[in-house]
Amino acid sequence: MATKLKSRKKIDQKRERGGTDPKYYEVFARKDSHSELSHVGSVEAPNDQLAQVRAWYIYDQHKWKEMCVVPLEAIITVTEEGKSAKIKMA
Amino acid sequence: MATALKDIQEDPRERALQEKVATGYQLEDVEEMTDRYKDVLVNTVHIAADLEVVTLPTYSPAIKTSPTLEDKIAIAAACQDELGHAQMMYRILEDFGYDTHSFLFERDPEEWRTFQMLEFPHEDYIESVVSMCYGDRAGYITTVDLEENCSYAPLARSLRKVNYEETFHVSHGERWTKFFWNQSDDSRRRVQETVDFYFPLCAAWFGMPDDLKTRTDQLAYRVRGASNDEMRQKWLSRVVPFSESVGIKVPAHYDADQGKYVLDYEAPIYLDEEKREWDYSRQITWKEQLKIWKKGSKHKVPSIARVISEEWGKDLW
Repeated sequence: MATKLKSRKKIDQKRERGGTDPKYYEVFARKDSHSELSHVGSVEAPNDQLAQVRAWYIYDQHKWKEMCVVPLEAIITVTEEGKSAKIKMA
Repeated sequence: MATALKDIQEDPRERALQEKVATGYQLEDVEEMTDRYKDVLVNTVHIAADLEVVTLPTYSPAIKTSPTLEDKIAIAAACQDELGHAQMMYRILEDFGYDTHSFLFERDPEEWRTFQMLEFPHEDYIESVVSMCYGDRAGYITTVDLEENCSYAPLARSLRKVNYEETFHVSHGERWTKFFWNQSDDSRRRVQETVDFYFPLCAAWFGMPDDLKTRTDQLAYRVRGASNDEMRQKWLSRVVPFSESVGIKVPAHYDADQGKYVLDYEAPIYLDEEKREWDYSRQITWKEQLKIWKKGSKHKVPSIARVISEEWGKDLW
């Protein structure tokens, strides 16, 4: 028995994502000048600007000295050649 | 979906993977997984993600009634953390073909997999801090187990952030539970009343006792490291001494003969949802309990429907 929702949110996936396929960005950050820049996570976003915002708000567990996002498609693997995943979550 | 036990015994790939993860091997790629491994992993993450999201309708009503701006911010910040955790879990699920948008906004509320502990919207701020103290502690024990033991390395790694943030919720809960215990007779009564309601809910968070549990793939594939009873014991070993040190009465104690913490009642027991009271003299069967868990509290569907429809109303603040 399904509940009738008064106003189910309609999402235009293509518009929301700027395309039909989700676009992923990998998030890298360093805590302070002495720490390594590390992979801390991954976000899905339709464009670079939203990826920056989502990364900053989701991975806010530290006051990062530096943070950057890299489109997953820009990553060229060395060890993971031919695998389905290039880089996997934090 | 469910594979019969004999199938796995006959399938050498499943057996080989079980033996591999038992030695501490961690998987990095979906391609390394067997069907059965994928099933139990996805199921585990799916439930964990849903549980993160339902904290929103559960905690948010207390934003309205919490006494100071700092308290409102504390609850809002905790909700933001939990949604960040959900985002990471959904991100993992997307590698298995899940679509987060349709998963969040197009599923019927009945299909959500939630636990009873998170199905009662908080009536006031005391309920929120008690819930953080006892409930987030229970959640933390399950996510720490995943971080430490999960054979799927990407999930284990992603939980570092989750657990780091959960420690804040638990310590926030403990600090303010103690504060309200000592503030006034009224607030002390409210703390005790809330613990009375939440304690059995939190003890049940870990599920059925080990000897009655029929699904054992989580442990066989080392998606989790500790059994239900082991995690429940760990939880008791933290919350019982805490409660005793404050003076809060809880239905559990340390049994020196058995060398472990034990509940003062035999689960499952009857809960009067309306009055939010447990009837310790009325035991129910596990079959009845499972039915209750499956259906969810009367708040479950309206709460999730609210999230889906984004009907936050103008009275939120």
